[in-house]
Amino acid sequence: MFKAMLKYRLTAIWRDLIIAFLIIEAFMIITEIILSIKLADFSVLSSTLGISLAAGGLIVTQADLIILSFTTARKPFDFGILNGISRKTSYITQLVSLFGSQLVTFVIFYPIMGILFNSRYSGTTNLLDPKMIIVIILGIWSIMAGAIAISSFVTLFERKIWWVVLGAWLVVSKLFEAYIQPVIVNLLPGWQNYYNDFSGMGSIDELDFGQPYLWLIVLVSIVIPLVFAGVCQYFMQTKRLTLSFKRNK
Amino acid sequence: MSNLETKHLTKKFGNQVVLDDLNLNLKPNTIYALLGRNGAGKSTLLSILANHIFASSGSVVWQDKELTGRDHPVQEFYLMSEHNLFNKSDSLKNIIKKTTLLQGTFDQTLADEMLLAFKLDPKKKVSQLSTGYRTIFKTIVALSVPAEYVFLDEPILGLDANHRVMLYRYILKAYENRARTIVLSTHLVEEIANLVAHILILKDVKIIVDSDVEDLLAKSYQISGPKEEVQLYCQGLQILDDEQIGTLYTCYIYADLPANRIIPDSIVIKHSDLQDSFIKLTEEERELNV
Repeated sequence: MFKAMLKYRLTAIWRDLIIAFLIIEAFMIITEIILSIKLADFSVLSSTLGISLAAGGLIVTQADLIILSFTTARKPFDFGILNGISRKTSYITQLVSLFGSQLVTFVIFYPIMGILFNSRYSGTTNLLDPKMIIVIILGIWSIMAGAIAISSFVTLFERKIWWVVLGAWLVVSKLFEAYIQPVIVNLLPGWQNYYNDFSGMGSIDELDFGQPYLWLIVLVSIVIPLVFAGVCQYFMQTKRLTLSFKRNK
Repeated sequence: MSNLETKHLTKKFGNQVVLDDLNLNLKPNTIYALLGRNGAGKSTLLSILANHIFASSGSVVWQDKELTGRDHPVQEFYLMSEHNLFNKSDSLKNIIKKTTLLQGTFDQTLADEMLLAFKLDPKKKVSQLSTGYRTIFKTIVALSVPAEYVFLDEPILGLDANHRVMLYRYILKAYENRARTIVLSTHLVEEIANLVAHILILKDVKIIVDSDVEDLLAKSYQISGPKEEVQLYCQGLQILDDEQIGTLYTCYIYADLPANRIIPDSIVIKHSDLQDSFIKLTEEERELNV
Protein backbone atom coordinates (compact mmCIF):
# COMPACT_ATOMS: atom_id res chain seq x y z
CA MET A 1 0.00 0.00 0.00
CA PHE A 2 2.94 2.27 0.73
CA LYS A 3 4.35 1.65 -2.75
CA ALA A 4 0.98 2.24 -4.39
CA MET A 5 0.42 5.51 -2.51
CA LEU A 6 3.97 6.64 -3.25
CA LYS A 7 3.50 5.87 -6.94
CA TYR A 8 0.19 7.75 -6.89
CA ARG A 9 1.78 10.83 -5.33
CA LEU A 10 4.92 10.68 -7.48
CA THR A 11 2.87 10.37 -10.67
CA ALA A 12 0.92 13.50 -9.76
CA ILE A 13 4.03 15.44 -8.73
CA TRP A 14 6.09 14.53 -11.80
CA ARG A 15 3.22 15.23 -14.15
CA ASP A 16 3.10 18.74 -12.70
CA LEU A 17 6.87 19.11 -12.78
CA ILE A 18 7.17 18.02 -16.41
CA ILE A 19 4.38 20.36 -17.52
CA ALA A 20 5.95 23.29 -15.62
CA PHE A 21 9.39 22.40 -16.96
CA LEU A 22 8.23 22.21 -20.58
CA ILE A 23 6.40 25.53 -20.32
CA ILE A 24 9.36 27.38 -18.80
CA GLU A 25 11.88 25.84 -21.20
CA ALA A 26 9.74 26.74 -24.19
CA PHE A 27 9.41 30.23 -22.79
CA MET A 28 13.20 30.47 -22.28
CA ILE A 29 14.00 29.26 -25.78
CA ILE A 30 11.50 31.60 -27.41
CA THR A 31 12.75 34.55 -25.33
CA GLU A 32 16.39 33.82 -26.22
CA ILE A 33 15.57 33.48 -29.92
CA ILE A 34 13.59 36.75 -29.93
CA LEU A 35 16.42 38.47 -28.06
CA SER A 36 19.01 37.16 -30.49
CA ILE A 37 16.92 38.24 -33.49
CA LYS A 38 16.43 41.70 -32.00
CA LEU A 39 20.15 42.07 -31.28
CA ALA A 40 21.01 40.38 -34.55
CA ASP A 41 23.61 38.46 -32.61
CA PHE A 42 23.18 34.71 -32.32
CA SER A 43 26.29 34.35 -30.19
CA VAL A 44 24.11 35.46 -27.26
CA LEU A 45 21.91 32.47 -27.88
CA SER A 46 24.79 30.02 -27.89
CA SER A 47 26.46 31.50 -24.83
CA THR A 48 23.50 31.94 -22.49
CA LEU A 49 20.92 29.39 -23.59
CA GLY A 50 22.47 26.55 -21.60
CA ILE A 51 22.55 28.51 -18.34
CA SER A 52 19.04 29.87 -18.98
CA LEU A 53 17.62 26.42 -19.58
CA ALA A 54 19.34 24.90 -16.54
CA ALA A 55 18.49 27.85 -14.28
CA GLY A 56 14.91 27.95 -15.62
CA GLY A 57 14.51 24.22 -15.02
CA LEU A 58 15.96 24.48 -11.55
CA ILE A 59 13.90 27.47 -10.48
CA VAL A 60 10.62 26.22 -11.92
CA THR A 61 10.95 22.73 -10.45
CA GLN A 62 11.91 24.01 -7.00
CA ALA A 63 9.14 26.64 -7.05
CA ASP A 64 6.65 24.03 -8.25
CA LEU A 65 7.65 21.68 -5.44
CA ILE A 66 7.19 24.47 -2.89
CA ILE A 67 3.72 25.16 -4.31
CA LEU A 68 2.95 21.41 -4.25
CA SER A 69 3.99 21.34 -0.59
CA PHE A 70 1.11 23.76 0.01
CA THR A 71 -1.41 21.94 -2.16
CA THR A 72 -0.90 18.22 -1.58
CA ALA A 73 -2.40 17.97 1.89
CA ARG A 74 -6.13 17.64 1.18
CA LYS A 75 -6.79 15.93 -2.16
CA PRO A 76 -4.31 13.02 -1.95
CA PHE A 77 -5.24 12.58 1.72
CA ASP A 78 -8.95 12.26 0.89
CA PHE A 79 -8.30 9.93 -2.01
CA GLY A 80 -5.99 7.83 0.16
CA ILE A 81 -8.54 7.50 2.97
CA LEU A 82 -11.25 6.65 0.43
CA ASN A 83 -9.06 3.77 -0.74
CA GLY A 84 -8.06 2.51 2.70
CA ILE A 85 -4.65 4.16 2.94
CA SER A 86 -3.75 4.98 6.52
CA ARG A 87 -3.01 8.54 7.60
CA LYS A 88 0.56 7.61 8.51
CA THR A 89 1.24 6.07 5.10
CA SER A 90 -0.35 9.06 3.39
CA TYR A 91 1.86 11.51 5.29
CA ILE A 92 5.09 9.56 4.92
CA THR A 93 4.53 9.21 1.18
CA GLN A 94 3.87 12.95 0.98
CA LEU A 95 7.24 13.65 2.59
CA VAL A 96 9.15 11.04 0.59
CA SER A 97 7.62 12.11 -2.73
CA LEU A 98 8.14 15.84 -2.20
CA PHE A 99 11.61 15.79 -0.64
CA GLY A 100 12.74 12.96 -2.94
CA SER A 101 11.55 14.86 -6.01
CA GLN A 102 13.31 17.97 -4.74
CA LEU A 103 16.58 16.08 -4.44
CA VAL A 104 16.23 14.48 -7.87
CA THR A 105 15.36 17.71 -9.69
CA PHE A 106 18.07 19.56 -7.81
CA VAL A 107 20.65 16.92 -8.68
CA ILE A 108 19.61 17.09 -12.35
CA PHE A 109 19.61 20.86 -12.82
CA TYR A 110 21.93 22.35 -10.23
CA PRO A 111 25.22 20.69 -11.31
CA ILE A 112 24.54 21.60 -14.96
CA MET A 113 23.86 25.18 -13.97
CA GLY A 114 26.86 25.21 -11.60
CA ILE A 115 29.27 23.86 -14.24
CA LEU A 116 28.05 26.31 -16.89
CA PHE A 117 28.10 29.21 -14.43
CA ASN A 118 31.56 28.38 -13.09
CA SER A 119 33.03 28.01 -16.59
CA ARG A 120 31.53 31.31 -17.72
CA TYR A 121 32.04 33.38 -14.59
CA SER A 122 35.23 31.91 -13.13
CA GLY A 123 36.53 33.77 -10.15
CA THR A 124 33.12 34.55 -8.71
CA THR A 125 31.14 32.33 -6.33
CA ASN A 126 31.77 28.64 -6.78
CA LEU A 127 28.28 27.21 -7.14
CA LEU A 128 29.60 23.68 -6.87
CA ASP A 129 30.93 24.19 -3.36
CA PRO A 130 29.41 21.26 -1.42
CA LYS A 131 28.65 23.50 1.54
CA MET A 132 26.71 25.89 -0.67
CA ILE A 133 24.80 22.99 -2.19
CA ILE A 134 23.85 21.68 1.25
CA VAL A 135 22.79 25.14 2.45
CA ILE A 136 20.60 25.66 -0.64
CA ILE A 137 18.99 22.22 -0.21
CA LEU A 138 18.36 22.89 3.50
CA GLY A 139 16.92 26.29 2.62
CA ILE A 140 14.47 24.81 0.12
CA TRP A 141 13.61 22.01 2.54
CA SER A 142 12.83 24.52 5.30
CA ILE A 143 10.44 26.40 2.99
CA MET A 144 8.82 23.11 1.94
CA ALA A 145 8.54 21.97 5.56
CA GLY A 146 6.89 25.26 6.51
CA ALA A 147 4.49 24.94 3.57
CA ILE A 148 3.55 21.36 4.52
CA ALA A 149 3.02 22.42 8.15
CA ILE A 150 0.84 25.41 7.24
CA SER A 151 -1.25 23.47 4.68
CA SER A 152 -1.74 20.54 7.08
CA PHE A 153 -2.79 22.89 9.88
CA VAL A 154 -5.19 24.80 7.64
CA THR A 155 -6.57 21.57 6.18
CA LEU A 156 -7.19 20.21 9.65
CA PHE A 157 -9.64 23.02 10.33
CA GLU A 158 -10.51 24.05 6.76
CA ARG A 159 -11.73 27.46 5.72
CA LYS A 160 -12.59 29.27 8.91
CA ILE A 161 -9.14 28.76 10.34
CA TRP A 162 -7.28 31.84 9.17
CA TRP A 163 -7.83 33.75 12.39
CA VAL A 164 -6.73 30.67 14.32
CA VAL A 165 -3.58 30.42 12.20
CA LEU A 166 -2.74 34.02 12.93
CA GLY A 167 -3.54 33.68 16.63
CA ALA A 168 -1.60 30.44 16.94
CA TRP A 169 1.39 31.93 15.16
CA LEU A 170 1.40 34.93 17.52
CA VAL A 171 1.07 32.74 20.60
CA VAL A 172 3.73 30.28 19.46
CA SER A 173 6.19 33.02 18.50
CA LYS A 174 5.65 34.78 21.84
CA LEU A 175 6.06 31.52 23.75
CA PHE A 176 9.19 30.72 21.76
CA GLU A 177 10.61 34.18 22.42
CA ALA A 178 9.72 34.14 26.10
CA TYR A 179 10.60 30.60 27.10
CA ILE A 180 12.49 28.60 24.51
CA GLN A 181 14.90 31.14 23.07
CA PRO A 182 16.34 32.17 26.50
CA VAL A 183 17.00 28.52 27.28
CA ILE A 184 18.77 28.00 23.97
CA VAL A 185 20.75 31.23 24.35
CA ASN A 186 21.72 30.15 27.83
CA LEU A 187 22.94 26.80 26.57
CA LEU A 188 24.46 28.13 23.35
CA PRO A 189 25.26 31.84 23.63
CA GLY A 190 25.94 32.20 19.91
CA TRP A 191 22.48 30.94 18.94
CA GLN A 192 20.78 34.31 18.85
CA ASN A 193 23.13 35.63 16.21
CA TYR A 194 22.65 32.57 14.08
CA TYR A 195 18.93 32.49 14.48
CA ASN A 196 18.24 36.18 13.99
CA ASP A 197 20.78 36.76 11.30
CA PHE A 198 21.82 33.92 9.09
CA SER A 199 24.90 35.96 8.12
CA GLY A 200 26.07 35.45 11.69
CA MET A 201 27.15 32.12 10.42
CA GLY A 202 29.77 33.92 8.37
CA SER A 203 30.57 33.08 4.80
CA ILE A 204 29.95 29.71 3.29
CA ASP A 205 33.65 28.94 3.70
CA GLU A 206 33.38 29.44 7.44
CA LEU A 207 30.38 27.17 7.69
CA ASP A 208 31.10 24.29 9.99
CA PHE A 209 28.66 21.41 9.93
CA GLY A 210 29.94 20.39 13.33
CA GLN A 211 28.36 23.50 14.87
CA PRO A 212 25.24 22.76 16.87
CA TYR A 213 23.71 26.07 15.72
CA LEU A 214 23.27 24.90 12.17
CA TRP A 215 21.55 21.75 13.28
CA LEU A 216 19.36 23.69 15.68
CA ILE A 217 18.25 25.83 12.76
CA VAL A 218 17.59 22.66 10.78
CA LEU A 219 15.63 21.30 13.73
CA VAL A 220 13.56 24.45 14.17
CA SER A 221 12.95 25.12 10.49
CA ILE A 222 12.58 21.60 9.08
CA VAL A 223 12.06 18.89 11.67
CA ILE A 224 9.65 20.69 14.01
CA PRO A 225 7.31 21.87 11.19
CA LEU A 226 7.24 18.33 9.81
CA VAL A 227 6.41 16.85 13.22
CA PHE A 228 3.71 19.50 13.59
CA ALA A 229 2.34 18.65 10.14
CA GLY A 230 2.36 14.95 11.03
CA VAL A 231 0.30 15.63 14.16
CA CYS A 232 -2.16 17.72 12.12
CA GLN A 233 -2.55 14.96 9.52
CA TYR A 234 -2.99 12.38 12.26
CA PHE A 235 -6.12 14.20 13.38
CA MET A 236 -7.34 15.04 9.88
CA GLN A 237 -10.58 13.54 8.64
CA THR A 238 -12.16 13.37 5.23
CA LYS A 239 -13.36 16.47 3.50
CA ARG A 240 -15.98 18.66 5.11
CA LEU A 241 -17.37 15.95 7.36
CA THR A 242 -16.25 17.53 10.57
CA LEU A 243 -17.25 20.99 9.53
CA SER A 244 -20.63 20.06 8.14
CA PHE A 245 -21.51 18.12 11.26
CA LYS A 246 -20.43 20.97 13.46
CA ARG A 247 -22.57 23.34 11.43
CA ASN A 248 -25.65 21.15 11.28
CA LYS A 249 -25.85 19.57 14.68
CA MET B 1 -14.75 -13.66 5.61
CA SER B 2 -15.44 -12.34 9.08
CA ASN B 3 -18.23 -10.24 10.51
CA LEU B 4 -17.85 -6.52 11.00
CA GLU B 5 -18.95 -5.55 14.47
CA THR B 6 -19.36 -2.42 16.49
CA LYS B 7 -19.10 -2.57 20.26
CA HIS B 8 -20.64 0.17 22.39
CA LEU B 9 -19.98 2.62 19.59
CA THR B 10 -20.70 6.21 20.54
CA LYS B 11 -20.12 9.37 18.54
CA LYS B 12 -20.44 12.88 19.85
CA PHE B 13 -19.94 16.20 18.11
CA GLY B 14 -19.26 18.56 20.96
CA ASN B 15 -22.02 17.82 23.46
CA GLN B 16 -24.34 16.44 20.80
CA VAL B 17 -24.63 12.67 20.88
CA VAL B 18 -25.08 11.41 17.33
CA LEU B 19 -24.75 7.69 17.95
CA ASP B 20 -25.17 6.08 21.32
CA ASP B 21 -23.86 2.70 22.39
CA LEU B 22 -24.40 0.89 19.09
CA ASN B 23 -23.78 -2.83 19.02
CA LEU B 24 -24.02 -4.04 15.45
CA ASN B 25 -23.00 -7.20 13.72
CA LEU B 26 -22.77 -6.99 9.93
CA LYS B 27 -22.64 -10.43 8.38
CA PRO B 28 -20.60 -11.25 5.30
CA ASN B 29 -22.21 -11.41 1.86
CA THR B 30 -25.47 -9.75 2.89
CA ILE B 31 -27.24 -6.72 1.46
CA TYR B 32 -28.37 -4.39 4.21
CA ALA B 33 -30.56 -1.32 4.21
CA LEU B 34 -29.62 1.34 6.71
CA LEU B 35 -32.67 3.48 7.24
CA GLY B 36 -33.33 6.49 9.36
CA ARG B 37 -34.75 9.98 9.28
CA ASN B 38 -32.66 12.97 8.22
CA GLY B 39 -29.93 13.52 10.79
CA ALA B 40 -30.41 10.10 12.37
CA GLY B 41 -26.68 9.41 12.11
CA LYS B 42 -26.58 7.06 9.11
CA SER B 43 -23.72 8.86 7.35
CA THR B 44 -21.83 9.19 10.62
CA LEU B 45 -22.14 5.47 11.27
CA LEU B 46 -20.96 4.55 7.77
CA SER B 47 -18.08 7.04 7.97
CA ILE B 48 -16.93 5.49 11.23
CA LEU B 49 -17.18 1.97 9.81
CA ALA B 50 -15.06 3.02 6.82
CA ASN B 51 -12.49 4.75 9.05
CA HIS B 52 -13.21 8.20 7.57
CA ILE B 53 -14.04 9.62 10.97
CA PHE B 54 -13.62 8.22 14.45
CA ALA B 55 -15.89 7.09 17.21
CA SER B 56 -15.83 9.04 20.46
CA SER B 57 -15.86 5.74 22.32
CA GLY B 58 -16.42 2.08 21.64
CA SER B 59 -14.86 0.19 18.80
CA VAL B 60 -15.21 -1.34 15.38
CA VAL B 61 -14.07 -4.96 15.34
CA TRP B 62 -12.87 -6.69 12.20
CA GLN B 63 -11.23 -10.11 12.12
CA ASP B 64 -11.05 -10.04 15.93
CA LYS B 65 -9.07 -6.78 15.86
CA GLU B 66 -10.30 -3.45 17.13
CA LEU B 67 -10.12 -0.73 14.48
CA THR B 68 -10.19 2.22 16.82
CA GLY B 69 -7.07 4.08 15.71
CA ARG B 70 -6.23 6.21 12.73
CA ASP B 71 -3.74 3.90 11.16
CA HIS B 72 -5.67 0.84 10.22
CA PRO B 73 -5.53 0.41 6.49
CA VAL B 74 -8.86 -1.22 5.81
CA GLN B 75 -9.20 -1.75 2.09
CA GLU B 76 -11.83 -4.37 2.79
CA PHE B 77 -14.23 -1.46 3.40
CA TYR B 78 -15.21 1.16 0.86
CA LEU B 79 -17.55 4.05 1.51
CA MET B 80 -19.33 5.88 -1.27
CA SER B 81 -20.61 8.99 0.42
CA GLU B 82 -22.36 12.13 -0.73
CA HIS B 83 -19.05 13.96 -0.30
CA ASN B 84 -16.86 14.07 -3.34
CA LEU B 85 -13.43 12.79 -2.41
CA PHE B 86 -12.22 12.67 -6.00
CA ASN B 87 -10.18 15.41 -7.56
CA LYS B 88 -12.77 17.42 -9.48
CA SER B 89 -10.36 18.27 -12.26
CA ASP B 90 -9.58 14.60 -12.93
CA SER B 91 -11.28 12.70 -15.74
CA LEU B 92 -13.35 9.64 -14.84
CA LYS B 93 -10.85 7.46 -16.68
CA ASN B 94 -8.02 8.93 -14.64
CA ILE B 95 -9.86 8.38 -11.35
CA ILE B 96 -10.46 4.74 -12.28
CA LYS B 97 -6.77 4.40 -13.10
CA LYS B 98 -5.73 5.93 -9.77
CA THR B 99 -8.27 3.83 -7.85
CA THR B 100 -6.92 0.69 -9.53
CA LEU B 101 -3.42 1.72 -8.49
CA LEU B 102 -4.36 2.13 -4.83
CA GLN B 103 -6.80 -0.78 -4.64
CA GLY B 104 -4.59 -3.26 -6.45
CA THR B 105 -7.44 -4.63 -8.56
CA PHE B 106 -10.60 -3.19 -10.10
CA ASP B 107 -13.55 -4.74 -11.92
CA GLN B 108 -12.95 -2.89 -15.17
CA THR B 109 -15.51 -5.02 -17.03
CA LEU B 110 -18.32 -4.02 -14.69
CA ALA B 111 -17.17 -0.39 -14.66
CA ASP B 112 -17.05 -0.23 -18.47
CA GLU B 113 -20.46 -1.86 -18.76
CA MET B 114 -22.00 0.57 -16.26
CA LEU B 115 -20.33 3.60 -17.83
CA LEU B 116 -21.76 2.56 -21.18
CA ALA B 117 -25.21 1.78 -19.79
CA PHE B 118 -25.45 5.15 -18.04
CA LYS B 119 -23.90 6.94 -21.05
CA LEU B 120 -21.05 8.32 -19.00
CA ASP B 121 -18.08 9.46 -21.05
CA PRO B 122 -14.86 8.36 -19.27
CA LYS B 123 -13.06 11.36 -20.72
CA LYS B 124 -15.33 13.76 -18.86
CA LYS B 125 -14.08 15.46 -15.73
CA VAL B 126 -15.82 15.04 -12.37
CA SER B 127 -16.52 18.79 -12.34
CA GLN B 128 -18.49 18.40 -15.59
CA LEU B 129 -20.94 15.90 -14.12
CA SER B 130 -24.37 16.72 -12.72
CA THR B 131 -25.22 15.65 -9.17
CA GLY B 132 -26.97 12.54 -10.44
CA TYR B 133 -24.14 11.47 -12.74
CA ARG B 134 -21.58 12.15 -10.03
CA THR B 135 -23.54 9.82 -7.74
CA ILE B 136 -23.68 7.19 -10.49
CA PHE B 137 -19.94 7.42 -11.09
CA LYS B 138 -19.15 7.15 -7.38
CA THR B 139 -21.38 4.07 -7.18
CA ILE B 140 -19.70 2.52 -10.23
CA VAL B 141 -16.32 2.88 -8.53
CA ALA B 142 -17.69 1.55 -5.24
CA LEU B 143 -19.09 -1.57 -6.92
CA SER B 144 -15.89 -2.16 -8.89
CA VAL B 145 -13.35 -2.05 -6.06
CA PRO B 146 -12.44 -5.36 -4.42
CA ALA B 147 -13.80 -4.38 -0.98
CA GLU B 148 -15.66 -7.00 1.05
CA TYR B 149 -17.89 -4.39 2.69
CA VAL B 150 -19.28 -1.64 0.47
CA PHE B 151 -21.20 1.19 2.10
CA LEU B 152 -23.40 3.15 -0.28
CA ASP B 153 -24.56 6.35 1.37
CA GLU B 154 -27.46 7.78 -0.66
CA PRO B 155 -26.55 6.03 -3.94
CA ILE B 156 -29.69 7.38 -5.60
CA LEU B 157 -29.08 11.04 -4.78
CA GLY B 158 -30.18 13.10 -7.77
CA LEU B 159 -31.11 10.08 -9.90
CA ASP B 160 -34.28 9.90 -11.98
CA ALA B 161 -36.57 6.86 -11.73
CA ASN B 162 -35.06 5.10 -14.77
CA HIS B 163 -31.52 5.50 -13.52
CA ARG B 164 -32.54 4.35 -10.05
CA VAL B 165 -33.99 1.12 -11.46
CA MET B 166 -30.84 0.57 -13.54
CA LEU B 167 -28.63 1.21 -10.56
CA TYR B 168 -30.53 -1.28 -8.39
CA ARG B 169 -30.09 -3.88 -11.15
CA TYR B 170 -26.37 -3.23 -11.29
CA ILE B 171 -26.04 -3.44 -7.52
CA LEU B 172 -27.65 -6.87 -7.70
CA LYS B 173 -25.51 -7.84 -10.67
CA ALA B 174 -22.33 -6.81 -8.87
CA TYR B 175 -23.46 -8.81 -5.86
CA GLU B 176 -24.22 -11.87 -8.01
CA ASN B 177 -20.84 -11.63 -9.74
CA ARG B 178 -19.02 -11.44 -6.44
CA ALA B 179 -20.85 -11.77 -3.16
CA ARG B 180 -19.97 -9.09 -0.63
CA THR B 181 -21.73 -7.12 2.05
CA ILE B 182 -23.45 -4.02 0.72
CA VAL B 183 -24.99 -1.51 3.09
CA LEU B 184 -27.42 0.83 1.36
CA SER B 185 -28.40 3.99 3.13
CA THR B 186 -31.42 5.59 1.51
CA HIS B 187 -34.71 7.37 2.05
CA LEU B 188 -36.51 5.60 -0.79
CA VAL B 189 -37.51 2.72 1.41
CA GLU B 190 -40.01 0.95 -0.80
CA GLU B 191 -37.69 0.90 -3.81
CA ILE B 192 -35.06 -1.15 -2.04
CA ALA B 193 -37.47 -3.54 -0.32
CA ASN B 194 -36.82 -6.30 -2.83
CA LEU B 195 -33.11 -5.65 -2.98
CA VAL B 196 -32.08 -6.01 0.64
CA ALA B 197 -32.08 -8.96 3.00
CA HIS B 198 -31.65 -7.17 6.28
CA ILE B 199 -32.86 -3.90 7.72
CA LEU B 200 -31.20 -1.58 10.21
CA ILE B 201 -33.21 1.39 11.43
CA LEU B 202 -31.61 4.24 13.32
CA LYS B 203 -33.74 6.46 15.48
CA ASP B 204 -32.84 8.82 18.28
CA VAL B 205 -29.14 7.87 18.11
CA LYS B 206 -29.91 4.17 18.59
CA ILE B 207 -30.56 1.18 16.36
CA ILE B 208 -34.22 0.38 16.93
CA VAL B 209 -34.54 -2.36 14.33
CA ASP B 210 -31.90 -4.91 13.37
CA SER B 211 -33.87 -7.55 11.56
CA ASP B 212 -34.26 -9.55 8.37
CA VAL B 213 -36.74 -7.94 5.99
CA GLU B 214 -39.10 -10.92 6.25
CA ASP B 215 -39.07 -10.79 10.04
CA LEU B 216 -39.69 -7.05 10.06
CA LEU B 217 -42.59 -7.32 7.67
CA ALA B 218 -43.93 -10.37 9.50
CA LYS B 219 -44.25 -8.28 12.67
CA SER B 220 -45.71 -5.18 11.00
CA TYR B 221 -49.49 -5.13 10.96
CA GLN B 222 -52.37 -2.77 10.30
CA ILE B 223 -55.40 -3.81 12.33
CA SER B 224 -58.64 -2.08 11.34
CA GLY B 225 -62.21 -2.21 12.50
CA PRO B 226 -64.48 -0.75 15.19
CA LYS B 227 -62.41 1.15 17.72
CA GLU B 228 -63.38 -0.79 20.82
CA GLU B 229 -62.75 -4.16 19.24
CA VAL B 230 -59.45 -3.15 17.69
CA GLN B 231 -58.25 -1.66 20.98
CA LEU B 232 -59.30 -4.76 22.83
CA TYR B 233 -57.47 -7.00 20.39
CA CYS B 234 -54.33 -4.83 20.47
CA GLN B 235 -54.07 -4.76 24.24
CA GLY B 236 -50.50 -5.43 25.37
CA LEU B 237 -49.08 -5.26 21.84
CA GLN B 238 -46.56 -2.63 20.69
CA ILE B 239 -48.75 0.00 19.04
CA LEU B 240 -46.79 2.36 16.81
CA ASP B 241 -49.67 4.57 15.76
CA ASP B 242 -53.41 4.67 15.41
CA GLU B 243 -55.83 6.64 13.29
CA GLN B 244 -59.56 7.12 12.94
CA ILE B 245 -61.05 7.70 9.50
CA GLY B 246 -64.82 7.92 9.77
CA THR B 247 -65.93 4.85 11.66
CA LEU B 248 -62.85 2.90 10.70
CA TYR B 249 -60.20 2.74 13.36
CA THR B 250 -56.72 1.44 12.50
CA CYS B 251 -53.87 0.44 14.75
CA TYR B 252 -50.34 -0.01 13.48
CA ILE B 253 -48.61 -2.80 15.35
CA TYR B 254 -45.01 -3.97 15.49
CA ALA B 255 -45.25 -7.27 17.31
CA ASP B 256 -45.92 -10.95 16.93
CA LEU B 257 -49.65 -11.48 17.07
CA PRO B 258 -50.66 -13.64 20.00
CA ALA B 259 -51.63 -17.05 18.68
CA ASN B 260 -54.16 -17.67 21.45
CA ARG B 261 -56.12 -14.41 20.93
CA ILE B 262 -59.30 -14.80 18.95
CA ILE B 263 -59.61 -12.44 15.99
CA PRO B 264 -63.11 -10.96 15.86
CA ASP B 265 -64.87 -11.10 12.49
CA SER B 266 -65.30 -7.33 12.50
CA ILE B 267 -61.61 -6.54 12.36
CA VAL B 268 -59.26 -6.86 9.42
CA ILE B 269 -55.58 -7.62 9.85
CA LYS B 270 -53.04 -7.08 7.10
CA HIS B 271 -49.29 -6.65 6.89
CA SER B 272 -47.85 -3.17 6.47
CA ASP B 273 -45.37 -2.64 3.66
CA LEU B 274 -41.78 -1.66 4.38
CA GLN B 275 -42.32 2.05 3.86
CA ASP B 276 -45.33 2.19 6.19
CA SER B 277 -43.48 0.16 8.79
CA PHE B 278 -40.50 2.48 8.58
CA ILE B 279 -42.63 5.61 8.82
CA LYS B 280 -44.54 4.33 11.80
CA LEU B 281 -41.40 3.10 13.54
CA THR B 282 -39.55 6.37 13.13
CA GLU B 283 -42.37 8.89 13.50
CA GLU B 284 -41.96 11.47 16.21
CA GLU B 285 -44.65 12.06 18.83
CA ARG B 286 -45.51 15.51 17.48
CA GLU B 287 -45.80 14.16 13.93
CA LEU B 288 -48.33 11.57 15.00
CA ASN B 289 -50.79 14.33 15.80
CA VAL B 290 -50.64 15.91 12.34
